Amino acid sequence: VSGSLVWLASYPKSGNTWVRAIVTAYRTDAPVDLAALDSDAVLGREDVDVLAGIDTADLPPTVQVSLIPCIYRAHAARLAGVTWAKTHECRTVGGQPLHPADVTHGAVYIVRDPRDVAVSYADHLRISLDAAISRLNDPDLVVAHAGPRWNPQRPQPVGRWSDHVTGWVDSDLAPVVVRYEDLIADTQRAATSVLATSWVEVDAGRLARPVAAAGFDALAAAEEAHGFHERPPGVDRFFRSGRAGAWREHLTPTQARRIVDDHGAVMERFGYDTADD
Amino acid sequence: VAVVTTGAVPPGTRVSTGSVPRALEGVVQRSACTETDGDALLLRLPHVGRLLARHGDEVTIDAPDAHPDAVRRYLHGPIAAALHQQRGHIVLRGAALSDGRRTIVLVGRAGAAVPPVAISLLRTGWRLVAAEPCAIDGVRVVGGSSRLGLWPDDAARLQLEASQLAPRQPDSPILDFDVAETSSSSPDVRHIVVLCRGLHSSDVEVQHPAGADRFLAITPVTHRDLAQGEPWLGSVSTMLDRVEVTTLRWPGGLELNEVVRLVRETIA
Repeated sequence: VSGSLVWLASYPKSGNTWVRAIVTAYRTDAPVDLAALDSDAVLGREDVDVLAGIDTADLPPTVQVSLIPCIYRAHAARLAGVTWAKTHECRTVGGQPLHPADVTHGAVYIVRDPRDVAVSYADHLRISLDAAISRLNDPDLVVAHAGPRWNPQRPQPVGRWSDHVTGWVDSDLAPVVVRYEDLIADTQRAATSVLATSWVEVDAGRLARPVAAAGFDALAAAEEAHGFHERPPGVDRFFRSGRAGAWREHLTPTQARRIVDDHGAVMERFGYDTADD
Repeated sequence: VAVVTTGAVPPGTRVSTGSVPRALEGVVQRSACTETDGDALLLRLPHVGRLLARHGDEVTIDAPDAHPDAVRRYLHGPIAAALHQQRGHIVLRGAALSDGRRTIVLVGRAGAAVPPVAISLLRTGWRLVAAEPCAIDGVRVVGGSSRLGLWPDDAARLQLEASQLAPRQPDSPILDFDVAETSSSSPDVRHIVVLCRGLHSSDVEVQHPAGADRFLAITPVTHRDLAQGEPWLGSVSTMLDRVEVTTLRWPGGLELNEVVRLVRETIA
């Protein structure tokens, strides 16, 4: 581990933005500005084109995906110090790692109960719960894929929830694994392990204020007051619920069972109860 | 070896296949896909191969397994842009059009909708002088493509026939609209319109930058692969002394016909 990037990895809608807010609040010791969260994701097409040295939007999707490690290397080469890098991408595509070990300083992986992920994802994308559940089990799922219209982001291969989790957790990058539910239960403790991946020593006495500044209510209030550019068009709120176990109020028993059937083995590995209620 | 006489590649360029090194010596600028020693440009692409442009008139292609259309896309795109830069030309990301009295250049980064706006203007009597990469010497357009790349939804919006469109390369989402007749001799460039799609704004912003702000306005829409220093600045300065620059930032949700209307007002 000698690189400059600290990967902040998760499946979509698993608390990545919340952790970015905590990291930012700790560094700045100030109220969170949602327009200036730490962790450059290198997702915007303009940034990608500059790093690639060519226009990338018209490249075939396979070439765009092949370029991802090169883009990250070019990004790392321009950094002055250790920097967080948010990613929802799966760890590998076709056996090839997307996140080069040679530019990696550390990694954090956030895992969340896929039943809550499905509920949050459905709301985020304005799709049905059944459609969201299908996405979580789609091995070919790509976020911001090249469709019939211009997309301001480059494509990000994501894949199935189970494969995403094991691909990262068991990878050579040996990430610090944080459960979303543990972040809620004891934010300060979980935040300490997250921050320690980039700063050698975390000042525990300094943590209370950033944890409060990046609390769910504070982020929701900031979004209400100033908006949030990562909120998809037509969606009322990015910071929607911030609770663990909300799936019980939204999923039918059949839907919940479908997720357990798809991902039960990995869910149990991370302590999620898979028994029928 | 083939000598290119048409297309975006500058006339007289010798194109050959052969061995291209994996890296250049004395690299002064590097990106994920390109590197330059200040003169030559090496382009490396996964699944395609390597292409080398040097001396303003020489290209070597080392891509034995690549589809010819894929090679053509890079030859007529970043390689053509590099060759023009090696000849001292300013290369803009955009399309030049003429109404017979003057030439305007619509420029913009990916997503700025330059091609659909250009096609809309072509339908009202403007002629295409050159599409991306649009090379300029002084205030004269000296090279560029005849193809405007469109996303399928824009092609549908413009009601273009399928027979008028071709995929830019295998599996590419972009469709090329080939403007068969381009204007071979055009008046001087008088106006550069920088189009920006504002992702997070809901307002139209029209600005007429002056002084150094004119450099800042066109730098992001200019190919600068060879890390040119003072000579490049001098060329740009000469050009900017003689052209008007307008930046037009339009909200991402705006309909294409509204963007076209704004552009028409800007160039009126």
